[in-house]
Amino acid sequence: MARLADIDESLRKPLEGLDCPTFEAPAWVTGPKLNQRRVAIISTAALSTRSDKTFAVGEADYRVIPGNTAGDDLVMSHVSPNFDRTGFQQDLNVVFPIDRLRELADEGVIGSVADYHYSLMGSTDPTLLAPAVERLVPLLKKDAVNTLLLAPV
Amino acid sequence: MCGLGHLFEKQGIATTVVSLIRLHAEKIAPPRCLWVPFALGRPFGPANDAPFQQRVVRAALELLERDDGPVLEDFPDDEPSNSEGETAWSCPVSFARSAEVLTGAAAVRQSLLDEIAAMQPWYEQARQRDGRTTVSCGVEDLESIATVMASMFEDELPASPDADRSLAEAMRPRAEDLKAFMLEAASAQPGNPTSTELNDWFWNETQTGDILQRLRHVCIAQEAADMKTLGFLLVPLARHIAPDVAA
Repeated sequence: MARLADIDESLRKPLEGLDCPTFEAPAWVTGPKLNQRRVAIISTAALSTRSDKTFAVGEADYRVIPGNTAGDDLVMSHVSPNFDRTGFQQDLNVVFPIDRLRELADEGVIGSVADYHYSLMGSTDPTLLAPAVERLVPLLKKDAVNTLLLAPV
Repeated sequence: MCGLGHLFEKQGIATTVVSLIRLHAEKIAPPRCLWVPFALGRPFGPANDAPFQQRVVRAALELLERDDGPVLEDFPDDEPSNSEGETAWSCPVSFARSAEVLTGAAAVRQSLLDEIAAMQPWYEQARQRDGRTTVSCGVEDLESIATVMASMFEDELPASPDADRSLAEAMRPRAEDLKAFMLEAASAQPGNPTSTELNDWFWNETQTGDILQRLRHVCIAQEAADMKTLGFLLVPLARHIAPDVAA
């Protein structure tokens, strides 16, 4: 039910009119077979652990989510009121599918799950997120991550 | 989200993106993208449906086996119908929302406290069921939140309750905590309420929802830009009601 036609007009109009950035000469990174990939989740749901700082309006930084974070320790501070939170409230995998990734690793579909995952806040111009991405890349490489599952909210 | 796909690939890490807005995925054209026809806020499908969620994750990851791109694939299925069921759920706790506008901070505070007390047992049920809660993003207890929230209806706005952030920045997480408490609590009640039913109930039937609607008008009437922004963020666009109707 997230087809644009099904979304209330008050939200649909801004979504349709959103100025989307274009990316010249897009890169295309190849990699090993899926069963040899180490996968991290990057969520734009503004997730953080309880002990970390929550997200503020307009923020373009990231938060670290250790892979062993307990469900009760994961909170969401996204500023937009315009999406359903009840799914995440009942099951974090609705937004942050860490248990599903672990199952796929156990089944041998993917190679492994990263030790650390990260969250930023959507509703932010992606070009403003570029500095955060540049800071994240060395951390991901230290964790031997070669694949990202990018999750919206 | 789609833009991040480009940014990370440019830095040498392969990506696969899940997108909820196909139009944006078409325009931004990330290297690999799976569009899912689910409600905003539920990118991997309904809560507590592991097989369905795993299908979504797997479909997104399998795009990594394509030889060239950009790839924009549609997930073939809608969310299972029970995530937006057709049964009529109604909250067994009636708050008898008054037709009269609550006036004064004391009345607002008492109204919030009454609802918190009525929903507390259900909240505990939900917390036990899920083994977690999303309430309390490091702010304070709900009774204190009710007091701070009520103070927004005094003749003059209060000082920020937090030394390290403005009044607007301090109020938003408190409002989110109230919403999360009420919605988590209601989700534990009999009848397996859907997201739509829960949100209809919150915004149409509770004093807390009504108070947030009126707080929105208080905020947007202020001169300070951050207070106007707060007003914009308190209530979903689809739930905005005019000042003379909010009561």
